[in-house]
Amino acid sequence: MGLRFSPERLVVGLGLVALGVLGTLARSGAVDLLTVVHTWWPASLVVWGLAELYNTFAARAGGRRD
Amino acid sequence: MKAHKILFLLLILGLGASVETVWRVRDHVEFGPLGWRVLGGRFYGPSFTFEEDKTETFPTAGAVLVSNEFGGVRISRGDGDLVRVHLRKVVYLPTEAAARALGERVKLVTENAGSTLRLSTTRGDLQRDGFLGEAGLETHLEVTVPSGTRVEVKNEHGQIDVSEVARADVEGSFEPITLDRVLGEAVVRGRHGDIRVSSVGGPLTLSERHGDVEVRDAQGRVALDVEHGDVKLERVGAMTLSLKFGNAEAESVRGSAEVKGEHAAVKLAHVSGHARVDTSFENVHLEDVAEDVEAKTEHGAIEASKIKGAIRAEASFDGVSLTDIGGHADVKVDHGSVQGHDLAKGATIRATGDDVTLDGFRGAVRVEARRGSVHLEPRGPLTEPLSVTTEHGTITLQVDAGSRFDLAAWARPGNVEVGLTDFVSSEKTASKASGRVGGGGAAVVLEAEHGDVTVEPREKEAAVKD
Repeated sequence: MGLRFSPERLVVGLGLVALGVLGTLARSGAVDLLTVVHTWWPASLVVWGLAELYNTFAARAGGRRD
Repeated sequence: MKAHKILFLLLILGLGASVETVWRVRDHVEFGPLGWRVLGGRFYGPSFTFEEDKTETFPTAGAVLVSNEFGGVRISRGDGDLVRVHLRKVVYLPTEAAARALGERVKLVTENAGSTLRLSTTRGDLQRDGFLGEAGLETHLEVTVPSGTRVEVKNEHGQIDVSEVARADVEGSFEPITLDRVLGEAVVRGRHGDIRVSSVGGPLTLSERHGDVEVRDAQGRVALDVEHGDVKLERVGAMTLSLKFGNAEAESVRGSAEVKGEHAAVKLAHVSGHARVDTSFENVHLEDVAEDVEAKTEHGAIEASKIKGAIRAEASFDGVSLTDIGGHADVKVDHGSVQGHDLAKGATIRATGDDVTLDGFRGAVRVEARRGSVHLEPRGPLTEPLSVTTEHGTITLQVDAGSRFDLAAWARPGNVEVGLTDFVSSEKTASKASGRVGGGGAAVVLEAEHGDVTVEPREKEAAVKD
């Protein structure tokens, strides 16, 4: 049984990956974590919105309604 | 929209708000006069400065009393019989008009009662009547006074600088206090700010909480009460210091030096009177004291050198080291070693837990040691009484040629060895020896329990070194 696509899971997953990568880079001194998070946190809304759009169109193309 | 999506949106926005908050307050969190300040509090943002001057005729040898809050006070000597006051008002409000309106309400207040002049501002009245609101207001006072003026300053949350006055009584908080060139008595009380005092002609009384203290060139008696700060004294009169949680250094003390400390390291050098130090959990260092010394520390070491008088030293969990002691040395150490060099008038030593080593000593010596060995090398031929007892430790006595004494030594259990060519024994077994060295003289008693006793000639190299 396949796991159904969830925009929230995508955002949380990408967010965790991004946070982990940034945290590692910050500890190595490559980036300032707070500056990057402060700049880019609204992008999570963009990612979520795009994922919701994809989910909606994919559902319509597949003939099902969410 | 489903409920879980709304919750998820709120979660993202909440995390974003947290990030924004952290971003805004970072670099703006500090400890200020009103406690922890985030984003600066009242004294942050646009500010506008307004000034006011006032001059009062005032007799010499009078008293100027200054009271202020949230601003600096600077007092110095001026010309003639005039008191000149300059008030600088800094108002923290968004617009100049609002700041000017408040600034014009802030006035200098002077009460001239002949020989006493009181200086303050209307700040307190404005605050009481609610005119300050959320505005930040600093009032900085610069005062020049006639020569010979006595000064009293009470300032909260502001720096104090006083120079060239007859006498000074100063109380401040949260900012540094500086006194310079005070002809007579000086009294200083400080909190949460460093204190620096220089060139005081009379006695100095100082108390400080949470700040460092530095005093230079104080002619009179100095009495200090300090907590949570370091103390540094140079060229001061007789001193008494009470110190908790800080380190003290005093150099060139004209008179006696008395220090009562807790968790305080103490270092005294060049004291022309006696020195008394009682502290804990830190070390005591004494150098060049003209009279007697009493030093005590718990959980700390004592190091003393060039002491012209007698010394009484008591330490625990660390050692005592004495060098060049002119008087008798009375030492008690628990769980620490004793090292003595050049002791001129003998020593009485009780030590546990570590070794006792004395070299270059003269005079009668008595040593009681437990769980530690004793090594003794008197300066020159041994002719003075000597008594050593050890438990679980050896005794080694090295003497120069020409020594004259009656020896009584035993080890139980242990061996006694006497390697002196001029020793004439009256009784000699493996664990006991008695007899005369150099024809006899003072009593030398060496008693070891669970240790050996050795009496031998001093090594040539050491003798040559002396």
